[in-house]
Amino acid sequence: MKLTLLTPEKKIVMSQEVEEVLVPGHNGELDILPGHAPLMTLLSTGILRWKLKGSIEFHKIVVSWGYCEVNPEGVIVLAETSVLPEEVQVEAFKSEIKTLETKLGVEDLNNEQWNESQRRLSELKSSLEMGFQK
Amino acid sequence: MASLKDIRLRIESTKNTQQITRAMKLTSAAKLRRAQNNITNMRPYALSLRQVISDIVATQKVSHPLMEPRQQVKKVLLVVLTSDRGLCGGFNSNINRFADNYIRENKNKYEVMDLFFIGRKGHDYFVRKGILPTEYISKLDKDISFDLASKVADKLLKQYLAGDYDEIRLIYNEFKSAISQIVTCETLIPISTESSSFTEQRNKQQFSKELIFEPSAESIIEDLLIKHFDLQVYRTMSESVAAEHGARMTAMENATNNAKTVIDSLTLTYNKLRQEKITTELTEITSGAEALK
Repeated sequence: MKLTLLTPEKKIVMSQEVEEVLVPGHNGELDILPGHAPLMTLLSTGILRWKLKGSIEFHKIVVSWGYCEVNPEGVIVLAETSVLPEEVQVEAFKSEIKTLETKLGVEDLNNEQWNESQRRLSELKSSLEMGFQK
Repeated sequence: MASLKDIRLRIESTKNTQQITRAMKLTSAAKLRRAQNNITNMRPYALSLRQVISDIVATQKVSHPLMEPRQQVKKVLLVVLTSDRGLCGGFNSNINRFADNYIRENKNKYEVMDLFFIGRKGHDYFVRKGILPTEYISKLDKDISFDLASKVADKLLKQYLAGDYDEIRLIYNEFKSAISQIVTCETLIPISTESSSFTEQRNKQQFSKELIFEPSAESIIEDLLIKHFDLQVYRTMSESVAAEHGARMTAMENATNNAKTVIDSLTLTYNKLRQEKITTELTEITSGAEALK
C-alpha cells in the first residue's frame, strides 16, 4: 500500500510503502490497512499518522481540511494545511490558542470567521497534542 | 564639446547604474528559482486533485452549478493580473495592451464588464485612462501564499454564485521559460470538465463504482471543485510571479549589457580626447621651443 501526502505548497510523502495509516476522517478516525475498500472522505482537523513498511514507529502530522482517497493502489491524502512535528512552537501556539478562545467568546463573528477560528483552534490544539505524544 | 571631466563623470554614473542592474538581475534570478520551485511543488497536488475530480465525474452522475455554463452570458468579470513593480521589460505593458484591446473588442457584446485588478501596475494604467476597477489587490510581490489565493478565489466564487457575473475570465502572463512569457486569457468559471486537463484519464477499471463516500458524493464534489478553483487561482498567481521575475531578469541583463556598451564607447572618446590634448600640448611646447631659437 502506497501513501501520498500532498499540500499545495509542498509534498510531504510521495508514494511510500506503508503498513498502516490513521486518518482523521469526516465521521471519525479511520484506520486504513492494506486491502481497505475504496473510499473517499473529507478530512477533519486532526493528527494523521502513518507507519512505514518495516518500521514500528508512527510518523505524525497535523492536517486540516482536505480529502483522503483510498483506492486499490494506496492512499492519497490532499491536505490544505499541515503542521509538521518540528514546526510546533509550544509557547507561541499556546498564546494563540488563548487569544482565539477569548475572541470566540467575546466578539461577534460572522460564519466564516467563526469557522476559520474554530479550525485554527483545533489545528493548534492537535499540534500541541502531537508534541506531547512524542 | 564635452570636457574630459564631464566624460569621466558620465562613465562613473553609468558604472553605478550597471552595478545596480547587475544586482537586480541576480536577485531576480534567485526569486525566479524560488517561484519555479513553488510551481513544481504544487504540480503533484494539482494533478492528484484533477484526477480525483475526473474519477468522480466519470463514475458518479453528479453535476454542480460551478460546472454548468450559463445559457446567456451577459455579465463578465475580467481579472487582470500584473505586478506591483516596474523595471521588468514588457511584462506589464503587454498585459495592459492586451487587456485594453480585449475590453474594447468585447465591451459591446456584454451588458456588464467589470474589472478586478491584481497588482499595482495594471491598476495604475487603467485608472489613468479613466477606467475604474470594481476591486483591486496589490502587494503580490512578496511570496504569494495559498491563503491569499484562496481568499481571492472565495471572493470570485461568491460573486459568481450570487449571480453577479455569468463568467469570470483572467488575463495573466503564463510562465514558459525565464525568457519568454505569454499573455493568456482563460475562463476561470464555469469550470469546464471537458477541457484538456480532464481528458487524460487513467483506465477506469481501477476506480470502482462502489466507492464509499463520506459524506455524500455531491458535497464532496462541491468541495473538490472549490479547491480546484482555489488551486487554479494559486497556479496562475504563481505563474505570473515567476514570469515577472523571469522578465525582470532578462530586462536587467539587457540593461547591464547596454551599460557596458555605453561605458566602452565613452571610454574610447575619453581616451581619444586625452591623447588629442597631449598632442596639442606637445605641439605647443615644441613650437614654443622652436620660436626661442
